[in-house]
Amino acid sequence: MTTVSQPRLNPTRARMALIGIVVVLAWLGMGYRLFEIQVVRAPELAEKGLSQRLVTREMAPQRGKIFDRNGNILAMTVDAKSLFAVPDQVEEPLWVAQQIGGLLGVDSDVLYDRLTSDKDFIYIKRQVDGVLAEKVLALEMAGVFAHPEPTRIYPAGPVASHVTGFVDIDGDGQDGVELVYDDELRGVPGSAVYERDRAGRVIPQGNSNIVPAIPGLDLMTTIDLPLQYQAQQACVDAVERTSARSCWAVAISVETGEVLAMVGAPVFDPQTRQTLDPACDHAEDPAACGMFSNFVVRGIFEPGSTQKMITVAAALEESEVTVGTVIEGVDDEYELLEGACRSGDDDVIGCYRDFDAHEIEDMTVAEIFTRSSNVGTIEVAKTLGEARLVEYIRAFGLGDKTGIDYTVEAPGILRFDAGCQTCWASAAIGYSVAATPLQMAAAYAAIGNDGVWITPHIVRSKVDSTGQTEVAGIKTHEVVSPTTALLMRELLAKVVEKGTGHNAAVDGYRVGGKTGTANQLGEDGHYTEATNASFVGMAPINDPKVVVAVVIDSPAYEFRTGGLSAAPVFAEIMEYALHSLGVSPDGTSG
Amino acid sequence: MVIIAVVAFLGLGFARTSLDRSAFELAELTRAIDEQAALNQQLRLEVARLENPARIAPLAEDLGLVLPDTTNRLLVNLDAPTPVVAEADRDGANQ
Repeated sequence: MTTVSQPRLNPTRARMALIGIVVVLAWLGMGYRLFEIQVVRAPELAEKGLSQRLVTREMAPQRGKIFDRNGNILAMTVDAKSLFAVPDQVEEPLWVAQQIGGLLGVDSDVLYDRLTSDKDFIYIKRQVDGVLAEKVLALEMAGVFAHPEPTRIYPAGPVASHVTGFVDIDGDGQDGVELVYDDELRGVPGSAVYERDRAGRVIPQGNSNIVPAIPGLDLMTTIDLPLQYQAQQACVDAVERTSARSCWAVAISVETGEVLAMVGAPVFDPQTRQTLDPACDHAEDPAACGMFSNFVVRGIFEPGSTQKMITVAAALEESEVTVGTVIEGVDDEYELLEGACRSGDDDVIGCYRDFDAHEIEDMTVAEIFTRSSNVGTIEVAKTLGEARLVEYIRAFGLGDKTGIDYTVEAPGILRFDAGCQTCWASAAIGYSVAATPLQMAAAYAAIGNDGVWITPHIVRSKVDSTGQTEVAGIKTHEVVSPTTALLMRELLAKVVEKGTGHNAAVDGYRVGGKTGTANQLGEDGHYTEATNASFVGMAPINDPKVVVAVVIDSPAYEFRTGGLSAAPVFAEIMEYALHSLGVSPDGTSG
Repeated sequence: MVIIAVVAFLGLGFARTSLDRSAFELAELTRAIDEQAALNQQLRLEVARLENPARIAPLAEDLGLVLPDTTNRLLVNLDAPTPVVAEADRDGANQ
């Protein structure tokens, strides 16, 4: 019998087979993993990767510019740098505070406290000029960084501040044109979605979606910047010369209602957002003292004799009088309430006196107006009656907002309490009525515009980034006839040529206007010695182009009248306005 | 076929890298445009500041310049054989 031996497994081959099996299993495992990653979980992982690479950034729109009527820039936004620090990363806070404090004018002690605080992030100073920021960054201080931030700049400084208003540090309009047109100026933010690599670089051909920001509209205002400057300087000089509390002036185009200049002194700096009034340094509340204000639009005052234009115009329009009508027996004192004038005190209700004492005399309406007789004007107002007087006061725009495109306009006050026996007489001569300088200017502009009242406005048009323009609309209404307007213009001219307004004369032009001197009401309800001295007028009388209203608050006693303090300011502003607009002279006045 | 495939593959790769290079150049140009736009803004601001009347008026005064205080008109007589320019007085008559 033959025996066959069983083949024995070669150990080497067995090991090789085992290794082969392990390798195959490993490959199968990897294959499975690949399959899982590339197929099963592919969508989920792809999305996760994309979310890590994708960046979404809001693109801030460029805030619109504000221009004057000649294309000069009044406000624009530029990129500045805001410096910030991460306190944890600042290695030498004391040195950093001293270095930066010196360069930026920041309080080093306050900065040091903030650099050593436990905050994650602190602003050192926002919206710093680029060159200055680079100087700080060149010091290579650990923990100090900068990021771009747009900042609003007013190249004309305080000159146009009462027109533009100002924005806050975040670029949001706070007052003036910046606030009224904030929505139009700010634009629409855009967005950018794109893929970036680890180094922050944009991945070409990657996913991207860019929605461009829409810049804000540019505003073309009606302001004439050189005239604005001259008017402001005239007011600044007047405050200094007359020791007044403030001066406010506005110049309007008669034919269009465009505001050519609107100024005040003390001036306001829109960059620092503070009124530059030395008196504020000693005020109880300097911050409140230095706040923005615009008396032209918001301040109300009893207009005094400038109101007489409305009284006389109304009487002429209603044919109750003519300019030649003689009012007999005009005294320098008129007692509306029996016994009111007995005390001799000026501040008694129902007693009206002329500024200059005179004998009882017959006066024509023209003389009454030229000499600014209170008593005579009340006699003229008597022919109208209270109802019609109030009607014309309202028609000339007093007691209601003009509708100017500006913030917080005051409507003024018409005080005709029921049963008030003296209100009509007071209103006829500019008391019992409170108006803004803008309202008075607009009222006089109606006389210059052949009896048609026009809404004053500051923005002429809005321009978008494609150059498309939207023009502002205006409203008008007739107040008096062209004939009455012409007669009033001649009366106003006589005030300057022969009356109380001679200081308002402008060489080469016939000027017409009216002075006003109104005592101010004290806190106790009695009139004080302090006055609001005003002058409102227009030129050239034959074809008026510009109306200017000037109000000076509390000039020194020797300058207390409108003729002495406000009229010269008017003349200075009007002369520049006429020359600037290229208005041909029409003859000498004064 | 293989050669065509290889050529196609290489061509695709070349096109892709060209596109990527162009995209980087585009990004660089965009950045340069933004820089120039910012510079333009700064220059416009500088011009506006230089043109500020509050800056110019004091400089003019220092140089002895004043605002004119008289109004002079020149009349051109178009009816004359040779147009004559004469300075007018305030009433409009020739001097």
